Amino acid sequence: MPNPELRQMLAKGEVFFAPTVWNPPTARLAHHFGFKALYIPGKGTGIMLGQDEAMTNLTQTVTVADRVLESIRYEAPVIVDALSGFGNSDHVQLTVRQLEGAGVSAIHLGDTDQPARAATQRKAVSIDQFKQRIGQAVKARMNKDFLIIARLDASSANDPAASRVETVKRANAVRAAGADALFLSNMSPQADDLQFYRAQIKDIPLATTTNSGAQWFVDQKGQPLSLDDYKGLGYQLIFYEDVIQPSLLAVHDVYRKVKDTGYLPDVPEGEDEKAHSIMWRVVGMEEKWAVEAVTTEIGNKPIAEH
Amino acid sequence: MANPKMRRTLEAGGMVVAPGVYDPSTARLIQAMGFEYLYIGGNQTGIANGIPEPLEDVTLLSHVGRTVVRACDNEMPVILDASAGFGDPVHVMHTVESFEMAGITAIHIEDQFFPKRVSYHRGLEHVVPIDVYQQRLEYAVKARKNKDFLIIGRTDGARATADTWMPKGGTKEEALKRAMAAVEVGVDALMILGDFNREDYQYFRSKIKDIPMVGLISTKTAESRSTGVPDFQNLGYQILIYSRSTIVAVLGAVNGIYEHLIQSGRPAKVNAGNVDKENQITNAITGLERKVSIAATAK
Repeated sequence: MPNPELRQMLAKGEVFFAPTVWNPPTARLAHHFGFKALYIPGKGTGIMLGQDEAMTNLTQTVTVADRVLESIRYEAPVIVDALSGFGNSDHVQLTVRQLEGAGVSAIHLGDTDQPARAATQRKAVSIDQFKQRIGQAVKARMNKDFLIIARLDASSANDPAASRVETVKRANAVRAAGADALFLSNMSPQADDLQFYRAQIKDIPLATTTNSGAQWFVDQKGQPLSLDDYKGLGYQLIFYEDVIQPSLLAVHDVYRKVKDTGYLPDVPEGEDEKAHSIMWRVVGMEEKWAVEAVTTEIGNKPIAEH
Repeated sequence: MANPKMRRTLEAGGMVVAPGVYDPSTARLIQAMGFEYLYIGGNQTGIANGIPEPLEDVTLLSHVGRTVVRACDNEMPVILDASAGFGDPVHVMHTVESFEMAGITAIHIEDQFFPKRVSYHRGLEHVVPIDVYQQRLEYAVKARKNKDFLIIGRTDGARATADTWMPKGGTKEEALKRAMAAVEVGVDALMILGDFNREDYQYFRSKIKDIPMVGLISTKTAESRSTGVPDFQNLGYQILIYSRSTIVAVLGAVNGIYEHLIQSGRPAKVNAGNVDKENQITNAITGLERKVSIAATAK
């Protein structure tokens, strides 16, 4: 069952980050910090699986969603990047049923043509086809708490000057088709796109990302925008995608040292202990030790952690 | 199919250095960095799947194993932690067959109880009697189809909890006895675990001839963190595995990101140089061109 909190938060005008997660430990960690929603982007799933997001299929997406939701015991809303619905109208229907059935609370569906190509060669479907795709998704859902978020990134497929008009047209079309929210992606952080789209698109919650590649939405001091800033701009759901890549950079840096010197890098005192306690927390080690202490390990004193 | 490279390397006296991985992204990253072997450790893989190692099963590990093998185009020999073998001899045989068919190149099987106890992570390490351990390995060796698939006998006898067959608990001598029992039934390599210093490693190496030995590099203690490839090479250990440094790096980075986001209400500013490096890494992981190397990535 979708978690009704997501619909309620959007209806109440709440503003929140949805950080990227891609496996049980990252999901548990994000949930532990108290994020109000978790996000599974196609890019993250693709990277984890060692493939471009354009190759990611429905089964892989549902599997990641299952693992994330089960690991947090369905306690927080999870939003899944359903790419373009993995095909035509029938595939979109299956996408909705499977992800809704898995307990996901929202999906975003984009206007990319199928089968998907690598991101740089994206081709968008026509406005009518996109409207039909969203309409089909809305019709296929079983529960109103399962939200259909239409993703608009026509801008990356067209001339930027013309695309603003086209994006607004598409936004209005999919809102009419029943989308619960709109996700404006691939915006240029330098432009006033955020204000422009909010001014042009009425009466529907808007979602966006914190950055577009290396470019971040920043305030006048050059700081990445805060939740308050997004609130002022009229955006509620802020996807935070930049997690799996920095984590792999951290792995790279560790083994770069090993490759070059044969030794792991030194770390500041206490850092390993902190990492180990995170490790134990994300698998619920203490709770399991407590069970063994009164069952299989009665009378045995713990010695040292390892 | 097991990759013959590992057996050949060991026979030629070479080193096998295997960083720990648990999914295609970590595996491809390590491959693209120019390492030649991968290790799928139980603890780390369990954490990546949200469970402590003792709760893992053959299906989960076979899935991780074959996913990793395939992500690297079957080019990387993979060493996998087969835990306590997942049962009696008949189960151990199924375990070996499952991992061999998944394309794994080497597995280690230990003498802990099955079912494994989660409390081994706090020092309560129960091991089965030596004859039960030896029989486990005997049937593991019998079950393999191809000689290139290597069976590593692991003993935790050095730090085991006291039991009726070991009233005083584990000792180095007990571990040595168990290692010898493993050699008798034809294992290809030995792995003796414990909180050892260099003298301890030397002790084992001096007592056991003519079989490759495994050294484990962990972030658990400063001693283990600072014992590197050159040290083990000097000590005569040919196989080096990294048990948890990958997941520790990932969770450390992710924890820092989430913590900053939740506490400050805004993302941390990211260094543009990092973004370039991240993109190189991502391209090496997701690109169809498998020969992409990231050895040139800025250090």
